[in-house]
Amino acid sequence: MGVTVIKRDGLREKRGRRWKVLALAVAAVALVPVLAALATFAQTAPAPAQMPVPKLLPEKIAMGAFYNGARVRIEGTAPPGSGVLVVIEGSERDEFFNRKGRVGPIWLTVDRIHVQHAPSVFLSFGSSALSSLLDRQGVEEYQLDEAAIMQRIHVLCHCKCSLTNRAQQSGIHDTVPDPTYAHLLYADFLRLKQHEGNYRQLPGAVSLVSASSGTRYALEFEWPKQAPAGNYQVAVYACRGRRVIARSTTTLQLVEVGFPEYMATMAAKKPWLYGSAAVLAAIAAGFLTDLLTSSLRRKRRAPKTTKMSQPGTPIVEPGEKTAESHKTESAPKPTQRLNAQEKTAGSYDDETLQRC
Amino acid sequence: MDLYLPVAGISINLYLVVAVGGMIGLLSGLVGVGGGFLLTPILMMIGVPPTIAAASGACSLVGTSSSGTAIHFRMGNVDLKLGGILLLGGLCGAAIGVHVIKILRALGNADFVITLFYVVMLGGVGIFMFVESLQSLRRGMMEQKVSNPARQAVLLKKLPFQVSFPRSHVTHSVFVPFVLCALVGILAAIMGVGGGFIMVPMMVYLLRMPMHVAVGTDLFQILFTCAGVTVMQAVSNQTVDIVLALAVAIGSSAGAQLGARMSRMLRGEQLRIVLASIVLATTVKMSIGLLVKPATLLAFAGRN
Repeated sequence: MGVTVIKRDGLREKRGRRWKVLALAVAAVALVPVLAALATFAQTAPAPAQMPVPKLLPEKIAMGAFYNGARVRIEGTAPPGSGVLVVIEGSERDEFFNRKGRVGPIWLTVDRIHVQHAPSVFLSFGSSALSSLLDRQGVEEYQLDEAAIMQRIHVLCHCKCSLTNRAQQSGIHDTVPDPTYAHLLYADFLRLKQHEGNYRQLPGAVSLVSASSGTRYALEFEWPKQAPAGNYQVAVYACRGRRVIARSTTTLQLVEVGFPEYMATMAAKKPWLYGSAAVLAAIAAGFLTDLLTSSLRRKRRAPKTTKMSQPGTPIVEPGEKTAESHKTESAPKPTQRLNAQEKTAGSYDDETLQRC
Repeated sequence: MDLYLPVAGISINLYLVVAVGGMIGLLSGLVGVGGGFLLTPILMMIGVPPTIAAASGACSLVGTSSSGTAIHFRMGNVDLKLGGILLLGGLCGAAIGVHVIKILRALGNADFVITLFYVVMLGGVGIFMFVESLQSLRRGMMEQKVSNPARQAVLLKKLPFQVSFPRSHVTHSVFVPFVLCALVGILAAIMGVGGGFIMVPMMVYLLRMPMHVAVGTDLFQILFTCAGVTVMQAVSNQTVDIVLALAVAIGSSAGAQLGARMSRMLRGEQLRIVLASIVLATTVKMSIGLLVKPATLLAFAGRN
């Protein structure tokens, strides 16, 4: 009996030890990702320091009736010995495009593309080339060039056409294009934005001057006049050793004022009134032009009329036009006011018609 | 001088827009085409987004056609009775055309069919008009043609509800202009244009109207069609830019006056040759656009 009890105790101890080893192994495995994360955190660069907010001139761009873009100046002070990168970004929005493709020998609309999270404007200005200011990791971390912002933009097929077999399903639902096609779409989108002037990269546009307080930077550029109204984030990055060492942001406002603001609000809030007003204004413009040109013609013809309405001069009445025309053909009268062109074209002289 | 467009949200050169309007208005007053098929692509070329260009273009054509209608009316070239019937038929046709295009899209390959149809239609009408007008001009047989109606015209005279249209010097059954205009309305809706360049040849060759009266009457019905389109676009899409429309309308209404006065200097056949040349030039431009690779493959589209 005693031997049996000793054997059982030994087995229990063995099992207990196994459990302990297993628990330790599990704990070690669980610790691996935690330790890895800690190691990554230790390797990450320290957060960039804050630098003085840049000065914008003007801080608000007013879009009046005769708005034609604006000249913007951004200046400030960065830590000594640093290069400067200024990035201006508009708010994100969804846009829809038609994409042309070749069907046999013909170029036709083959797809409808839905672009999500694309900034309306992306302008990047540097004191030198971007690759000399920052390494690729830094560029992607802060999304400082067009290739980097493309990572957050989503391009989807919003397909209603059946000419493309790239979309996975028909109808008007968004579908994810295959990687090769998606790459083509990104390139097309970027080319279009650059063509509009809303996406631009200008290395060497920021001028730097060393001062006792640090490096003074200044940037002056033409604001793209096609940029829509809204708030634009202006971010200034001070770079040294191909890393961001300080950063500062501010907001540039682009606001509609006066007549454009009134009209845009009316178009959005009272579309019926706006549409009717547009029609009435166009009709008024048409009739006013007609009145103006008629009165001008009448003034120009006034001396002629006086001469022709002398006693004894026959006046051609509208009803008599045809008869008179026939008479004129057989025996032309010098005072007859219908000329050959009018007869050919079958139209009347203005003054004759007014009497009518 | 630049002008800010509140709905489009962009700035454009005022003089350029007025000049474009003037050119379109000249054609409109001269040959009675609305000019939508020329105005929209030109506005897009100067940087106006397509949806805004199409809707504001329709609004500006209200100005052009009102100016053109006014002067043609004073010259006795507007047949109000026939114009009313044509307008009604055109509206009914457009309503049917909208459904036809929905069916075509559901069947697939709609864009391909529409584009080819457009080119063939424009090319066919243009070549026919050009050849016919050239022959008339050479032989001087216009009056003889009018006095010797075709066999089909004799058959049409047997239809009920014959009405006389003294201004156009024709008598037709009410159904003839209504049905023909409904067909043009269907085509116009499918092709996405006002249909002036189909309507005028239809009035001249099928309804046997004098060219000058066809031009004036067409402008009269364009006025109402474009007014309707403008209000609908403003309400459903909010794409009408009043500043752009007025700038174009100022130029185009002045151009329409000049065009209408110029039309008096030309005979009917000569006017038809001008219209045929415009239609053929548009066909060539469209054909080049179909065959040559565009600079950018993406183009802005409206919501959905």
